[in-house]
Parts: sequence; structure tokens; C-alpha cells
Amino acid sequence: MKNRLKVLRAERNWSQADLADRLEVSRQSVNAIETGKYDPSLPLAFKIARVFAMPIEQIFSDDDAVQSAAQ
Amino acid sequence: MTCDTGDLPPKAKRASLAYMRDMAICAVVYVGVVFGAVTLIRHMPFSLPQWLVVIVALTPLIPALMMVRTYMTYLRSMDELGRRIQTEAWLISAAVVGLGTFTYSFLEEWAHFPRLDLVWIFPALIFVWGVGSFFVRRRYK
Repeated sequence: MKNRLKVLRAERNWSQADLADRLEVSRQSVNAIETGKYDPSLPLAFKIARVFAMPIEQIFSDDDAVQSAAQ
Repeated sequence: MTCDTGDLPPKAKRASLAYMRDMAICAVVYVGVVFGAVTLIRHMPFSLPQWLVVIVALTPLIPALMMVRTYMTYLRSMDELGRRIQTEAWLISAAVVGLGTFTYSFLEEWAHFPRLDLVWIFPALIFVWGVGSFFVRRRYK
């Protein structure tokens, strides 16, 4: 699963620690999500969407769905 | 069972410090209980009846269960990635120590290897969990 977390965070001038505080998770969790090493649970994904005030599908995208659409 | 508080949000940092404090208290109680049990069973001028020896021998289980409860409380305070790391590390530990002791029992029976004292299994679980959590944590960095 891909995400735009790093870009959205940079647009707001937030550090990973700032975002981690807002999400009440560790900075390591934010880093792992940004680098694609960890896919968040649905509740955490919704929380991320709330923090950025955006629909969830504008933050996360399904790799398989993107590939299917391209074909 | 250690933890680092470096990159945790304030709430998790408080939970982490409470965990370390409670675990230290449990460890002190554990040492006291083991010391008391050994003194009662081995170093007293009189010998205890068997049923009492069994009860005294089981007393270290009480602080050990307090440790488990402290750890579970800490585990529940972690974020989802933290819980995943812990779960994977415990799975590695269970697999390594479980399969290791299982295999060693065949060596004991058939190849006459020295008998392994059961008391080493729990420390081995903790040790492999510690090493495992280090490597699992690295995977998510």
C-alpha cells in the first residue's frame, strides 16, 4: 500500500515527532508507515485521515488497484 | 524486559516509565521471595513437611505472575507497531526455544547428552525474545 504521508507532513512543516504526537504513536511507527515498511490498521488510517482533514483514499492507495487500472 | 522511551509520545513515555518502575519492584520482590524460600527449605535446622516444601517452592510464582501482569499492561499501552514487534519477537522466541528444547530432548534420550535443567527454559525464552525484538525492531526502521 502506498501513501502520501511524507508529502502531506512536509506541506504542514511537521516533523515525524509532531505527527507521532498528533497520532499518539511512536516516531518509529510514523517512519515505518512513510517508508512503506508497515501498513497501518484501519482505525489508525482513519485517524491519519482526520489529522490531515482529508479523505482516506487521498492519503493511501492500493498498489494492486493502481496496477489494474493501468492495465 | 527493557524498553526505550526515546521517540515515544508523552502518554506512552509515562506508561514506559511506569513499566520499568513496576518491573523493578517485581524483580526485588522476586529476589526476596526466592531468597526466603531457599533459606526455609535448605538452610533451616529443621526440615519442613513435604506439603509445605511444595507450597514454599511455588511462592516465586507470585512475583513472576506480577511480572507477567506488568508486562501485559505495558504491552496494551503500546501503539500497534510496538505490539506487532513484541508479538513477532515472542513468536521467534517460542519457536527457537520450543524447537530447541524439543530437539534437545531427543539428543538426551538417544544420544545421551547431559540432562537440561528445566529452570533454564524461561531465562532462554526471555533472552531470545530480547535478541529477537532487537532484530524485528530493526526491520521497521
